[in-house]
Amino acid sequence: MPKGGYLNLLIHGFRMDFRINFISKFFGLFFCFFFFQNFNSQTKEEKLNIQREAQRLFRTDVKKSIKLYEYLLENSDGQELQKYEIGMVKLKLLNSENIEAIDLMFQLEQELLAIKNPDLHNQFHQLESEVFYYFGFKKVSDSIHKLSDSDSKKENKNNTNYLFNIPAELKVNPSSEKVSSRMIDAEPIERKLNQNIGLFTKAKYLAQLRQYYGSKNNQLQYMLYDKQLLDLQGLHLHQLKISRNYLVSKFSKLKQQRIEKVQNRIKKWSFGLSIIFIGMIGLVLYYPKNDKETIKKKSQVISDKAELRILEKLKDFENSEKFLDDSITITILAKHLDTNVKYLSTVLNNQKQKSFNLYINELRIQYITERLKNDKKFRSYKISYLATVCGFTSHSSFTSFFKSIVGITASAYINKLNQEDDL
Amino acid sequence: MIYKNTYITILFLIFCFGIKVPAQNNSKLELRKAYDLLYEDPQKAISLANVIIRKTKNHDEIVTGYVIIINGYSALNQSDNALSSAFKALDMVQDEKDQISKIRILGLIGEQFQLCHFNDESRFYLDQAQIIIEKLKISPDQKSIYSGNIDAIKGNSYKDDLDCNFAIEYYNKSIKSYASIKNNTSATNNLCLVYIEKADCLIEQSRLDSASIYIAKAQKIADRFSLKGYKLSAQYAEAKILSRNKKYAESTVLLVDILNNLEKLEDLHFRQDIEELLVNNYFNLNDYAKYQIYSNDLKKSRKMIESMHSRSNEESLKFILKNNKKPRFPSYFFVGFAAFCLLLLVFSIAKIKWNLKGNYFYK
Repeated sequence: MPKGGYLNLLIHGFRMDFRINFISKFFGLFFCFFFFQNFNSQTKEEKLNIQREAQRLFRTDVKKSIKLYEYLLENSDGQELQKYEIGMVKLKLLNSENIEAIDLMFQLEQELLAIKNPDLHNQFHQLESEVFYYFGFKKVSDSIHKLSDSDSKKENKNNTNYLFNIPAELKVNPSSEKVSSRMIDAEPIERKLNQNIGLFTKAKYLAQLRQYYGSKNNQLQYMLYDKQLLDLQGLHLHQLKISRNYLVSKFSKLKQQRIEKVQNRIKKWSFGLSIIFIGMIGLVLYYPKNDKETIKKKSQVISDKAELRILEKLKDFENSEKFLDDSITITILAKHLDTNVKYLSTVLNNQKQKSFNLYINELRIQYITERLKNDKKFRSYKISYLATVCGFTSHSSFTSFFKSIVGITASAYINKLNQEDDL
Repeated sequence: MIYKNTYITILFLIFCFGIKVPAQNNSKLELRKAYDLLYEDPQKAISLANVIIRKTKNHDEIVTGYVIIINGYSALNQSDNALSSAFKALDMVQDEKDQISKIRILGLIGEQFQLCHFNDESRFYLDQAQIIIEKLKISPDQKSIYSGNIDAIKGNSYKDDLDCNFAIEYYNKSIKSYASIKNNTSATNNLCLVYIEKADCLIEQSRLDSASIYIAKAQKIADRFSLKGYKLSAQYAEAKILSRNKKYAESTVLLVDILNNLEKLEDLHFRQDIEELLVNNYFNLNDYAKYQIYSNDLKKSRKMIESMHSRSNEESLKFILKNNKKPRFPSYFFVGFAAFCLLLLVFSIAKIKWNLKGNYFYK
């Protein structure tokens, strides 16, 4: 029986087991990580080698090159996949699979819309520009080319020359280029012709054979290969024509789809904004009513006692001539009456049916008319002085208020008083 | 192998869409003159039509003027200019809500895109024209001639896409439409052309006997109405059948004869087709010297056509992209916005007035 009993043993045993378990798991994870890293670098290297091999075969055996790229595509995902897809578009064009290349290019465009990778975007713009150039749309190509940054433009210019030049043998205007290189023996080339080769390679071989038999003065053989080359050129021109139609149609549709997306977004925004406009219009139209109603509601909130108290204090204020102070505001008056602005405003609106400004200015005009009536000395003062005496800071506001309350101007009122006295 | 010709389309559209040329007043007489000049001197016809468009205020005369200009540029292989004029005309007829003219112009745009081999785009415009034809209340003869034209061009577009089954379907529709019209020279002329196009498709399908029947029908019409261009096209189809039947020498005689007569017509595509068939014939006849001559001619023709196409394709693409509908704000948004602005204005004015009258915030 161990010291501490079975329980102790159990705990010790568990701890021991936990340590072993932890160590084994830690090392296991470490080895897994190491293996994965190693495996990852191995696959990366393998893929790089395959890509190099595929690029080496671009010109000589495009079909094999496509198969290698297919392997790369199958074993890649994410942005790596898109990088290989860009290469695949070029290869398909080299193998005269124009429609497939165009489809892949536009599919790629859709995929790239969701990714924020400037490098990949540049590569794609470069590819799109090259494709349009290849099909003879130089202006569109130029406008797309402007979208990619200057570094990738320089970098890819070489690729353009390498990948997308239609072989001189198929061109309808090969004047500036040498049609084909020297050839020693026709037999191996004739054997290659029977193999599964791309259109561009076939054109090269046919041109070599034509040149060979031309140099040997073998008219029949020369004619045979010339005719085959003419037919191939015709086929190539026809493929170009069909592909141009397809490219233009697809490009136009995608552009229209993009426009429609923008249109839908605009519609949603317009709808939202229109609702906001309508809401604001409603608010503006509803506001005055609402304001009156709130005042009424608020007036109900003030108790009768409080209202009476404010009214009493207002009476005192009216008798005190404090309204002659030109710095008085509703806040100052409310403070003076031991109430708040809202209460004071409500009482003035309900009991006097006046705004604060009207209330104060009426008191002032009332004061000055009384003084003019009772004190003749006042009648000889200038209007601006009278305005200052009764608390107006502006001469013009005094005269217009005087007229609106009394019905005549201040000077006319003075004249009238003088006339009455003379009588 | 065919990478298809449009050798008769130029003549075709002149007949299809240029039939509305009455000769009454001065400008109408001039229009007739311009219309007749289309065959001999398209450039002169274009200049004349331009002068008429500037002078007249009559809507029909302006539309006919545009039709002549479009056909003229088409005859000069300047698809870009033809499309530019066609879209100008379309803008005009859309404003006027003139449905008949709209059909004519849509048909011409479809035709121009077909000549550029933008067949999908071509069918898009032709479908629009077809929809209007079906909705419009016009005489059965008018309906038949317009439908016949649209179906014929659609047939050409499918033939260009190497889809002869579909093409024949449309040619049959077109033939049915034209055949239903009695005593109409334009309809008979167009019928002749559709016979030739159908025969060409039948040759591609190796249905040589059926093709011969349609060629014979076309030749009969061409002889009856002295249609030289159509007769040559029918002869070419005949030469094609002879070549398919390995009668290379007979086919060659016929082709050389066509070439000699073609010199004045200057149709590049037709010339290229003849040269291609001659190359094939001389190759099979093992005539090296003649093969070399026509092989070189063919290369030259291809070069000319390709450079012509690359120029017009680029311009045509510009028109396709230009005509994509651009995003716009919906009208209710503008109404709402305008109402909001108006209310804001009224509110501001009211507030200013209120401040001036009664509410003295300042003393």
